[in-house]
Amino acid sequence: MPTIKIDGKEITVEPGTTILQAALNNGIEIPHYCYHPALRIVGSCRMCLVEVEKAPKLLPACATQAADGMVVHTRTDKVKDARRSILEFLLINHPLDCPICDKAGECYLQDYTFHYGSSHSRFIEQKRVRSTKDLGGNILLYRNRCILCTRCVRFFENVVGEPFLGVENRGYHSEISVFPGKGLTHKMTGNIVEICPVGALIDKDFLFHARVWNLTRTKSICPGCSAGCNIYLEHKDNRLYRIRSRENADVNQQWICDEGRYLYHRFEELPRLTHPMKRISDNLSKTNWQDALSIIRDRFALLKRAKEIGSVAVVGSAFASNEENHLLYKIFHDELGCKNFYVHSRGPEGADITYKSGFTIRVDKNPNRKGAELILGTASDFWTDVKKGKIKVVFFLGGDAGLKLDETQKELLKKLEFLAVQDFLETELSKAANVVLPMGYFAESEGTYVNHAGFVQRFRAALQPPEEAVPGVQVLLNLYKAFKPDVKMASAADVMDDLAASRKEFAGISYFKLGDHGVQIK
Amino acid sequence: MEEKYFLKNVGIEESKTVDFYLKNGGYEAWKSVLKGKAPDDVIEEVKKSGLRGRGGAGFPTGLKWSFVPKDSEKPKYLVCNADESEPGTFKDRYLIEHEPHMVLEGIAIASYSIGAHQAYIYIRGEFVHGAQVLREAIREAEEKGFLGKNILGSGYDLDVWVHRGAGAYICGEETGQLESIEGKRGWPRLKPPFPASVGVFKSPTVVNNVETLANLPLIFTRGANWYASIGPNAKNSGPKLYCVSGHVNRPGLYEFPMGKNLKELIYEDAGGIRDGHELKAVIPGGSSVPVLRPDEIDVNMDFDSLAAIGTMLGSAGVIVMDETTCMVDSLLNLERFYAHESCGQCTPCREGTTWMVKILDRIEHGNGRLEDIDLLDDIAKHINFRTICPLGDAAAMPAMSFVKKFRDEFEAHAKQHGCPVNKDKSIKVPYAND
Repeated sequence: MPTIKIDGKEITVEPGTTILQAALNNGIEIPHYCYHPALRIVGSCRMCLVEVEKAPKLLPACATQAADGMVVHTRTDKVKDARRSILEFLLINHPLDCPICDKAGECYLQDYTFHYGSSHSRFIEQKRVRSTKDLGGNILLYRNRCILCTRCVRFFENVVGEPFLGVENRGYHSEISVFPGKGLTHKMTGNIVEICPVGALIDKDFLFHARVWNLTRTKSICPGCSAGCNIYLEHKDNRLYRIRSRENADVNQQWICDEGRYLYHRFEELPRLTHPMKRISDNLSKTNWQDALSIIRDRFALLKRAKEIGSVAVVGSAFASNEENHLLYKIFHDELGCKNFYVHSRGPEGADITYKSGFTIRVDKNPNRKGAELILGTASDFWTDVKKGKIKVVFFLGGDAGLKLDETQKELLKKLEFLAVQDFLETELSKAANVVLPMGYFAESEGTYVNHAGFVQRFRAALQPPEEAVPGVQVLLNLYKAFKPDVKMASAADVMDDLAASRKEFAGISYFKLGDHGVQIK
Repeated sequence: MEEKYFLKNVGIEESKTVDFYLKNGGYEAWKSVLKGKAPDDVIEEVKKSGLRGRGGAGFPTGLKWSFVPKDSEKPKYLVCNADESEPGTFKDRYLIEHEPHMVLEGIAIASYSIGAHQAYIYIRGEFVHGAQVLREAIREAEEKGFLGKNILGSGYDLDVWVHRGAGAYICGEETGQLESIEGKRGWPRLKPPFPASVGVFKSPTVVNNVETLANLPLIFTRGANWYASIGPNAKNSGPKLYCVSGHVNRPGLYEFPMGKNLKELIYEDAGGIRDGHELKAVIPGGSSVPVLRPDEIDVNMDFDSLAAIGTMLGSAGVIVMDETTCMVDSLLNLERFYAHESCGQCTPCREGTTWMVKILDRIEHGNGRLEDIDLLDDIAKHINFRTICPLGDAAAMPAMSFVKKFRDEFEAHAKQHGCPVNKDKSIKVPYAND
């Protein structure tokens, strides 16, 4: 294996490793624009030029393979001078409109100019001025800011596998463009905004909404399908402003689809449940948590005493976390002896879509079908059993923003004697319930999902649930305490520890062990 | 050597036909190679001849061929670079239009030596007539059995295709040309890998200039030793075409052995500077190479002698300028060309060339500052050697040399707020606004 020296540091690398990769893996920064680990190397921005001893000219670190004995310098005057000049070339026609640019704060043109650039300009000519172009979909191209690194072009070429973008015109007039007659309406377009190193590609969804340094980033998991893409929720003042991808080589590489990226809007418009409610004759009216929980406790305790627990059904959810589903089991199986567990999930929609890089949008739109079924089992259909008449009392855990009942199901509801619903939005079920427990949706909750491949992954709460609502785990912990006052568990992490102790599939798992990238189970 | 090789048939209309070519000993070299030489022997012979690439860089041709991997299972390709676009250069055009069989015979020998069965002639789009002549010549050669399947019963196949360019200078750069042949944007590729291992269609490829290839029949009729004896030394050998343009009495295409004295070429063969005028500057090797002052032109026109004085033989496009030429204006014209032809891939060339144009335009038209001269030089220095392909260097070298050698004139422009040169208004130059 070749050993090279970068700035005096000896580094042994795999054959084929470039100078840039070797440097980055060893904490040596070499600025770069066009290089991106997932994309074909083009070496065109010339930002990563470094000095290699015995080479007649500066070499692009991104495109030069490390050869045994190579001595590389990244901080010599010659290299610094080259960087300063590349930045100067990039900036002469740049509008310097950082104060109104969405990218400001996470822009490599800004950062590198600050680190390596010059503080004044020698350019006194007219700048090249070009209008902003709508590429279609959610993407705007600020042509004045583009540095032509072609990352976006290569994203469609290398990751998606369908060319959507190209470079049009030549030289000074080059610009990124969509192919004629083709708008940028693709499920993966949001990613090009993320990989654009400058403010050229801007997401209309985020345009002028916030300054990025005011946003808080919370690590989460996309609940859009069973892929379990790692994401950042970026929020401010208890509101989500955007979702960004979070790298996880085993799960989503570093991409997310647009369905996931803009999914949070779906939750903004929903009729949320904000207070615990109970039914008084025909009407649901607000009550307090203590009242709502004791109605449920009393009802189920009565059934237990009357040995009628066989008429109870508990419906968990493929949209709810492992912790929530596990607590359901703890309460209704361990405390009350209930045996009828079901999992609410949605059927497959369409087909899996796999792109060139292997990134896949899953047909199974349930984020935690695997986890919920591991914990609660895969019993027959809940509604069939209601129809048979053996079920009279139901506890239903929701979480499905698209929950709809058909006419037969609505009819069947009338057969029930008692229905408790825990959900974050008003549904046909919650309207028919005797007691309603309001909870937070995924961005307001903490927990874990198991994705299609068995990765247990953690999502964290970014927002506060509205008004009286609390995260689902908290609702169930409180309900558990109503049955069993000496419960020690106080948080989602405690519930996971308990789950790990009681189920062999989850053995050994803890939040500490899951870290940011999760753990794969059998 | 008074004997001409390339230009022996000037003025003979039928020189482009196969019958004429055959009558004058044509395709004998190809026949002898096919009959008696193994590909490796051909490469050795060319190495021995000292033939160096005539496209501009002067890389030893035999050495270039020897880089083609013998054990590769991929098909090999030969590309004849006929995208002659360097300002001041018009040598390949003559060969294409008047000696197409000389070029084809060279293509056949080169293809045989590297084991290629497909050869492309990438011809500049504007050479419409040249492309027609080549197509006709290929048809004739196939008819006579010098190209095509089972050539002269040897079992060796070679198909030659004419591929027309669409007018981009950058497609004359070898890797840009390969992209263009593949039907892509003519964006030069990173090297390594070099075309000899990964060329067109990801296969081993050799790209040779028209004039380079046209030398091969001569090497294989007269022998490598004889060829090497032409010219000043074995590293600068063979006959050479010189293109003389500008303010001389007899501009045109000249043939001499490698190493022709530049001063002699201008003052004796090209008839000297036009009457009543005096020499101001000479660009010796096409617009991309550093310019020479009159006191520097007593130099031999070969690769090493010109390199020794800081310029290059390049394409041997000698551009002669007299005192009516404004050096700022002519550099502006050159840089406009490079800005227009920059492919836009690398930052320094894309942004820097146009910046230089803007500065030169200001200086020439009276808005220059003294500090612009150093700025110009500095921009050029930061383009030079900083790009993927040599177009960046080609744009930078004239700027650096013009500023260095004619600094007074640049300063005069800045001080007088305008052009001090008494230009010859009778010569109309098409003015590009871009």
